[in-house]
Amino acid sequence: MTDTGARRWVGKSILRKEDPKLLAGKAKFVDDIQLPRMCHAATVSSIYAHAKILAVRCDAAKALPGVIAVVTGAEAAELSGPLPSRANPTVTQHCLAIDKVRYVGEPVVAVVAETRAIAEDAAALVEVDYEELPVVADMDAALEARGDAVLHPERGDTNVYTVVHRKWGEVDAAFANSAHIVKRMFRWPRVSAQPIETVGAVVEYEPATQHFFFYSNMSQQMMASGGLAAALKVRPSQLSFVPMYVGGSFGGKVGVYHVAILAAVLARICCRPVKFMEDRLEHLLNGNQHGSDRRYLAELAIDANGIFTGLRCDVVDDYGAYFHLALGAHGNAAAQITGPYRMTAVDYKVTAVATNKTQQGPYRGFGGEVANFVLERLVDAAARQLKADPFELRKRNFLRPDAFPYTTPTGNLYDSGDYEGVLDEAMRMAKIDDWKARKAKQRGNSKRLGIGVATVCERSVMNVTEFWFFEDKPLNPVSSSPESVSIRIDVQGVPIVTIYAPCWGNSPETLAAQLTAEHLCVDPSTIVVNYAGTDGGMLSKGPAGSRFTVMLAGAIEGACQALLAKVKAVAAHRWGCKEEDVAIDERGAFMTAGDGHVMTFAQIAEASYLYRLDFPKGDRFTTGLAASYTYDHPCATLPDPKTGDLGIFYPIVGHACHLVLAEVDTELATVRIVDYVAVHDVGQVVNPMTMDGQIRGGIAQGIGTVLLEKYEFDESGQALTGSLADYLIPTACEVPDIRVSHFTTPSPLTSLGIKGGGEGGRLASCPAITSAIDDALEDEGIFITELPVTPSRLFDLLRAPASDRATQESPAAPERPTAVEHH
Amino acid sequence: MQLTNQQVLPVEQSEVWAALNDIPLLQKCIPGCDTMTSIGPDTYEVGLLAAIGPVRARFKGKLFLEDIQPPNSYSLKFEGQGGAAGHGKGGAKVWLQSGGPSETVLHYSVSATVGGKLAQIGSRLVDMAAEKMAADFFAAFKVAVREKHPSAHTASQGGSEASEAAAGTQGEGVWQRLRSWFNRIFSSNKTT
Repeated sequence: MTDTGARRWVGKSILRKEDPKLLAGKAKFVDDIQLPRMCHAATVSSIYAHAKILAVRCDAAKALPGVIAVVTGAEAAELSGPLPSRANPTVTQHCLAIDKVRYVGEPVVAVVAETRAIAEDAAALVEVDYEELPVVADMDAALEARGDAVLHPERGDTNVYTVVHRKWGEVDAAFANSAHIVKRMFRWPRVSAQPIETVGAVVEYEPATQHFFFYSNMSQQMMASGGLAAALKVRPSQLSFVPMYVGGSFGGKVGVYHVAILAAVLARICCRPVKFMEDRLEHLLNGNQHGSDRRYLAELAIDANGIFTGLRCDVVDDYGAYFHLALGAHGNAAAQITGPYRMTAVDYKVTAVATNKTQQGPYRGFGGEVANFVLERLVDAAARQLKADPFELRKRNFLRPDAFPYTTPTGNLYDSGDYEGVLDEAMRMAKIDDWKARKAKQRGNSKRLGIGVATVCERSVMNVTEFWFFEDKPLNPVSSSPESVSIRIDVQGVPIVTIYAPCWGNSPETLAAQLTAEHLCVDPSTIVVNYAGTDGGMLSKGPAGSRFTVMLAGAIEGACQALLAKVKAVAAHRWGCKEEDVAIDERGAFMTAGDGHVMTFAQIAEASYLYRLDFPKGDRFTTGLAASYTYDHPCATLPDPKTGDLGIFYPIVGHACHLVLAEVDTELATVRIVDYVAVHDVGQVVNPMTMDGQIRGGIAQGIGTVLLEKYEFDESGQALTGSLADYLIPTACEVPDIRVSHFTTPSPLTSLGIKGGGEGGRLASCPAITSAIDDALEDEGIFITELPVTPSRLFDLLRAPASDRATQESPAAPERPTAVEHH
Repeated sequence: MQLTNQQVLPVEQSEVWAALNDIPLLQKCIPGCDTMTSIGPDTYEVGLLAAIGPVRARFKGKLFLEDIQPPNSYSLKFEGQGGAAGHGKGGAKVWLQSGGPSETVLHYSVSATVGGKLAQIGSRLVDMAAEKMAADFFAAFKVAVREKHPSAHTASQGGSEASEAAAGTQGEGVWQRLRSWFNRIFSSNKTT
């Protein structure tokens, strides 16, 4: 921005810088990589959910022409250690199973061959003898399991990974003194993103220097290389990551998983580059991207005035066979557990269990979307129970605009907001009275209309304390989550921005150009943006927890300020004036206040690069214009174990209101979304077009979660949804036109007032769409407590006796292990 | 997977019972079965090529006959491994009901579970595939029984018609439907 503060580029929908390359098919993805002598890997996967591996016979596979190596779990373990895990105590997982398999699809043997087809043919020749073990196929079985049914007996004779029970505020008093209690049981299904590109890696190993070169779509390369190196029993300096374009992550590609490690082990064994790309079946079964799989018993305490006074959640979460991110997704939920409401008391208990399923990974929302769903459902149930208007009830309980900065009961901070303003804007856009009239007109018809509402917070800019702050004695209490950039202005005055995170389908080049353009007052189309891998050296966390735009903006502002200071110093020296008298105008020209000197970036750059002896000796005028900046989290704090306060870890808090008009066909038991309004407050929007894309994409995924998606397993733990014909995702037919608008309360804590907005679409859509469905079926007394609402489930609900329609509290949960702070 | 059905065979019960214990005959009738070798009392090793949807594999497995009540019923248990394609196991009960010297009703009830790729990408198709295999088996079984007992009536009525029609609708197709149509015409001509 100019020295007068006027904004020229931030807030504009400029075209994406990434698109020419992507649209022309010129962006390089992992599977585009072809190296000389490269060979291909395939795996033999477990066909049992839980079994001992008795014997592995590889001779027939090894004898197949074109096969280079056949590697068992024990052989892979000679060159690799356990995969990184945040669990405490750790849960051991290897890139290939050793001795025991714990879910269907777990890789057991890897085959490397001249082509993927030969590798797959050879994999089919590998014979594995299994001895079946008792299968733990659901969370209730997990709570009871003992003996051979225990997945990780070294952690004790139980399948409970951990139990945490925390109370904040006077929660028992809130319930004891309440006028109303709304209590429901909810079931959130195991779903995931389906990025177009599956997880994959090409790895080359150079024996002479003992160095690995990674071409991988694993996304947090800079932060992850430590864990990856440890898993490969080498030093991080022995790894080089080459940045790649990534075909979508939505959380699923953030961590260090078996794919990259396995490819590296195989490359080292074969002394040839190895490519390992998951096929869709492998991705569905073990892409480490299954999201939360939870049951909630949740209660809301309400006083006589309809004010929410306390929240209780007793959660069981089916984490699957491993536990690599520990309770991170519940830490996440704790960031905004009371949502946009004024409640001060919370009781939160989580029991994390092991089952014979794929382990959970992050998926857009990372557990926060489930907490939002449960809270908004309780508010809808309260409106029904109290015969209150759901809009008015929300407004009565909202935090007021003067409440910010607001400290939540758990200790997190909300920076700014105007929730009533957002809701009013959404109701205005929807013309809510028209919607109500349309609904009334179709009342009693076989096709009903329902109006759904959700008002949710969108915590953004994560800090990593959420992975361990529930622990008394954390193993690994990391607290850094930096983002770095380097900017240099070349000898012709062109800014070149280097970022240290890959492009994973967001718009990092566009955002970096727009933000740099704003600070340097140049046209973003003239700015060059490139990517550095690990060899570039600067530490960055990259996209995760809706942090990237905010963190990038902070880093760019820091680098630009350093650059501008030097540019002004050069100009001031040239003109013999004071630095503070040099100003920049909106065209990127530098001038002094009074006497009419003008210089462009190009002229100043030329002076700085080529005429060193025109300037005084010393650091101030070293040759060239370049600056690097590492931006740390703007205001995170550590948890306080004494008070149970979780600290500030997600303080840049946006807000969204979604209003949905849905039509339910009571004869066909189908749901169609007729109209959709989404108003988001993400602070200062950098690029409305790309922001709207994030919101619409998140809503599309929410439609999948509410209406279509679920990973199904049978009672023997067999995965039944192994293709996109079994695991249904929304298509263009299910996703309506979505009307998006922005309402801005700038963050006082971030560069330019930006907030994160990567997850809000999904965070708000799940409760809003569900709310519309049971609003349409209010006359039938139907209240949705379980997703997905597929036609067959809706059919059953419509035909169930009225008493079974989940209007009342669902049956009590089975006995839980007694609460302890930790296991 | 659960499958319960019946078949009417145009021979007397003892002949059906004999056929049900005739291992080479059974092997010939089981679709894709290329080996069926006795490896112990009432225990057989079976090899067969099977396809369920996109999964096609050679299965090796064992079959155990149990609770044998000649000439009325037996139960069988089976388990098979198809390597990377997965595995299947289950059981069946077969019992016979005499309908006279030229008619026996064969009742069968099968339950099976599958695992691995068969479940992952075939679970939608397992029931249909099982019904088709059963239909194929009984079509061949009838032909084999008839060949063994040429005196038997060519016509079959009631249950068999229904099941043949059912088999026809599952895509074995035109031939099945055509044959059952011809059977109907032929038998109605005879009775009038």
